[in-house]
Amino acid sequence: MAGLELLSDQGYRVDGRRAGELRKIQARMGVFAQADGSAYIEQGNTKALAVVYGPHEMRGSRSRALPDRALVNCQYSMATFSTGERKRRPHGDRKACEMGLQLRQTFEAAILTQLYPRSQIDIYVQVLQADGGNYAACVNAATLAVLDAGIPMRDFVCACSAGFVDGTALADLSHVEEAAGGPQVALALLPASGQLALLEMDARLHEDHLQQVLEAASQAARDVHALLDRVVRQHVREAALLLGD
Amino acid sequence: MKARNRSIHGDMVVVELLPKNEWKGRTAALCENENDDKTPGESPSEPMPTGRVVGILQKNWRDYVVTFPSKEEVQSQGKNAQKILVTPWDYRIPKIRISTQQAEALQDFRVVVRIDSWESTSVYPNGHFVRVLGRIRDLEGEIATILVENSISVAPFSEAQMCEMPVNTPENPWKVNPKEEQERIDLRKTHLVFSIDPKGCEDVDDALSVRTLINGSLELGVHIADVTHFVPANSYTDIEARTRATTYYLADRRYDMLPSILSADLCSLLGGVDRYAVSVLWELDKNSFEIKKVWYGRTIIQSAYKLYYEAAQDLLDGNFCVIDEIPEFKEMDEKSRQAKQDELVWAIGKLTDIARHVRAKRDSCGALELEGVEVRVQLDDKKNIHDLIPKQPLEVHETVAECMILANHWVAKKIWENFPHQALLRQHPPPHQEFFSELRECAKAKGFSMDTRSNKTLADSLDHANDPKDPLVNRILRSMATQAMSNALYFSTGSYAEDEFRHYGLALDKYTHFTSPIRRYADVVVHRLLMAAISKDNKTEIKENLFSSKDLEELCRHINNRNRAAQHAQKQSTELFQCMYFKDKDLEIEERCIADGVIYSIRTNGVLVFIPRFGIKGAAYLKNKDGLVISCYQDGCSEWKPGSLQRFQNKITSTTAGGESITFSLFDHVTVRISVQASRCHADTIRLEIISNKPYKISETELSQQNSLLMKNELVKEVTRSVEEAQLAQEEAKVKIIQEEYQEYCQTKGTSLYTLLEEIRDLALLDLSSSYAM
Repeated sequence: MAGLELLSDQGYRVDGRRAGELRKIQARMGVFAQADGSAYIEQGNTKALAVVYGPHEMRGSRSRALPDRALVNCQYSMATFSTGERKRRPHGDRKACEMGLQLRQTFEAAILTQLYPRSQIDIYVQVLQADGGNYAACVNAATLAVLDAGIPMRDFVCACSAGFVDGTALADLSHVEEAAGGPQVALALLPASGQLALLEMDARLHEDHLQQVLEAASQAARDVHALLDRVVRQHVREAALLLGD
Repeated sequence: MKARNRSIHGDMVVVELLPKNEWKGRTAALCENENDDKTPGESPSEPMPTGRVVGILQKNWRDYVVTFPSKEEVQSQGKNAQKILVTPWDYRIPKIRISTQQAEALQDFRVVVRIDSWESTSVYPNGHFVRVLGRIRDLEGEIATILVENSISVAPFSEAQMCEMPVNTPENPWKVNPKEEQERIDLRKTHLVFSIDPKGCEDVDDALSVRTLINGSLELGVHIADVTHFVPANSYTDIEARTRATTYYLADRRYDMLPSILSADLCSLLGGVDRYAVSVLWELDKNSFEIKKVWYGRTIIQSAYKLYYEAAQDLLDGNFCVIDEIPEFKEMDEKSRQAKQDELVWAIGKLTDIARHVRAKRDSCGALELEGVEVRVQLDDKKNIHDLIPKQPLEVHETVAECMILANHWVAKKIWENFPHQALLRQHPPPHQEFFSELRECAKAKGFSMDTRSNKTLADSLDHANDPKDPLVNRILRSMATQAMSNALYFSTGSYAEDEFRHYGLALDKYTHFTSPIRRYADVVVHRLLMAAISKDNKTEIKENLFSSKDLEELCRHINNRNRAAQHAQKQSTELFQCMYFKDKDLEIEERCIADGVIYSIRTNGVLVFIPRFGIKGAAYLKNKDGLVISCYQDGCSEWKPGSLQRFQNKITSTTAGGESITFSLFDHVTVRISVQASRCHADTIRLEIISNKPYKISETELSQQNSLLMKNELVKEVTRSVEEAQLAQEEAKVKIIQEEYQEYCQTKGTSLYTLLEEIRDLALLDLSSSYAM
């Protein structure tokens, strides 16, 4: 609509950020005592909670167990109060299934599943407040939760979304920017090796701009990694303090 | 515009003549471009038949290069206007209406559009956007514009084509096939074959040989690269070559008709290696040089020397120190060196004698020597122009050219004899006498008379029209004669009567192109015809599938069309480089922009001037837009003052209100300043201003090196260099910007608008109830 400028002439976005600036990220691990591992992340106004159970015996059908590795089971749900309009179905709808599938693919790539044959790892992610970058927040939260559970991973999995407006690539889209209808890229990265775990895009983007957008998303994901790394070390330090002497 | 009735330049239309009292004439004034309204009050020349278009038989719309209107003009059309009127690069095409939302983004770009329709209710045609070419004034973009405007498409050769190509690498070198050895005549041991070409030439089409036979006669041989052996009819390469029809030479680059493995290596008759060739061998009487016998066929040759023109000329003149520079001689020992040298010198000398004789015979029939001989450009490895083959100042140029003309002539006779209705020949129809009127007037101004009734009389008149004080006069007259000539064209013998086969300029009854199959497709077709003729003679089966007369006619039309496009493109690219050269110079380095010019035509409000140093022709106004006329002082400086002009037959006089008057006559030398008239939507043009009525004297050292074509050389080199420098600077600037932006990534600590806003938001969530309680 006329008047809503996603990127002003001076280079500021709707919330005052620059093109490549991330939102304020705050994260905590070990927030949910009953689960094996849990984490809570706030990325700007997007708040996500991830909970991990496992590795444990296969529940449900034993026949589905894989003989050489663990089965990763992900469920994604959004709280009914998370979006502007109250959501009727928190989970089980098409979008949630797809997200769950994507999360599973992402984490199957990162978790060392060979170490736990014939077992199951459950990852439940819930979005408490959705303000754009839902997938990215979920992945970041789930990474922290898996680390909190002590399950070995190849590397952190860090995700970020990116878009393209007026010839500039924007990193970490908020809901307003997503709703504007431009192209959005969701990217999940293993930072140490620079390998992509998942890459997804909506809407149309000219191939000449793809490289730029990917660069922006990758750089943002690396910045998220720096942050998550700090959070993990802080948590371990605290835990060690509590346990020590 | 109305009379054109929605037809566009290039369409085939039906015209209805208006009644005689409505006929109009052409104005004899200079105008900036065709969009300017003709100033009323100018007395036009004689009325010409005038009509209007009533129907279009065949639309010939093509891709047009256009530019978007500048920002100010867009404003007037309404913001976010969907439909924009774009201006085509070619003046003759009307503005086109396209719908686009990218007008702002594409402000400074040249784009390609196509026309869809032209409603009868609309002033402009409708079209659509196809693709972006490049920035305005960017060298690559402008050259792409020239190519698109001439419908030249030069995509890289396809995979399928490259698979058809033979291989010649150090691991897998190409060798003569034993089967071919049996079918071809082997000249490698028996003949001294060598080629003479411009220095640095890679595609050697032709080689010569001469030797004495046992019976005392001379044997002259012309050997041409055997392209049809490597390019079978209707293969991918053949079809692509047919579409291109010729190699395109622009001022700074060339686009080959055949992939370079052929054009620069296996087809090229390089020195010291075996190559396939198609040869024409004549047996001549050793004293009178009369041709007794002729033989055509496929051969295998090994060219002994790849000479360049200057070296061959030196050897001819007896100046043997150039021998040290010829690579083939470097590896020889002393004994054989002398023998080989003598052999080569004898051969060159004999060739020259034969050529002189043949030329004399052609001259007696009226051959013309005009400016505007086919110019070939050679590039060095940095893609700068290395050399242009100029009009022939050296005798060896004449020698080689004569031998080629002889070969073309005899092949023409051969293929016509065998295929009277399917042969591809080249004709040059005699010019229309009306076109000679300007030439005759100019010559009369200097007191020469031109007899233009036949090619012989014209040649003689041009030879006599020499002013000993000013050699430029003859040059200008020859160039005017060239303008009056018709174009030489390829044609199919099935479409014309025999007396129309004549080539006016060369004074031959039959002529074709046979000697450059690497860069002309017509020659490839003639090779195939020749091979078929030889098979016919030997009563063997004709393997080539030849074109029928109708197909051949269509093919000739296509080749002629492509040749015309190639010539236009070359001219336009030369003008582009000239404009780019003069643009930066402007008025800083004064001396580069000022040159001596010769007036060669008079118009009502100005003159046309030819600048020999750069080879530029342009218009110089004597009366400018404000109505002021030029007036010159005694010391030669000029000024614009109110006054009037008076035009006479051969001169024009400018009289100021103050009573001073100055006269410019035909062939006067004046000093002009060269500047560039920049244009956003069209090509830049050169503008000339007369700054003095005295000739421009430059220092002797510069004068001695002046050759207009050498200047073109330097011009192109300079322009290419400055463009490269500009590109480098741009890239550096881009890198800097990227580095700046990088620092803004990630969560910015410290000062950032976002963190500030977040802090304010946090403040809003503070629990203040405790403070109220106080």
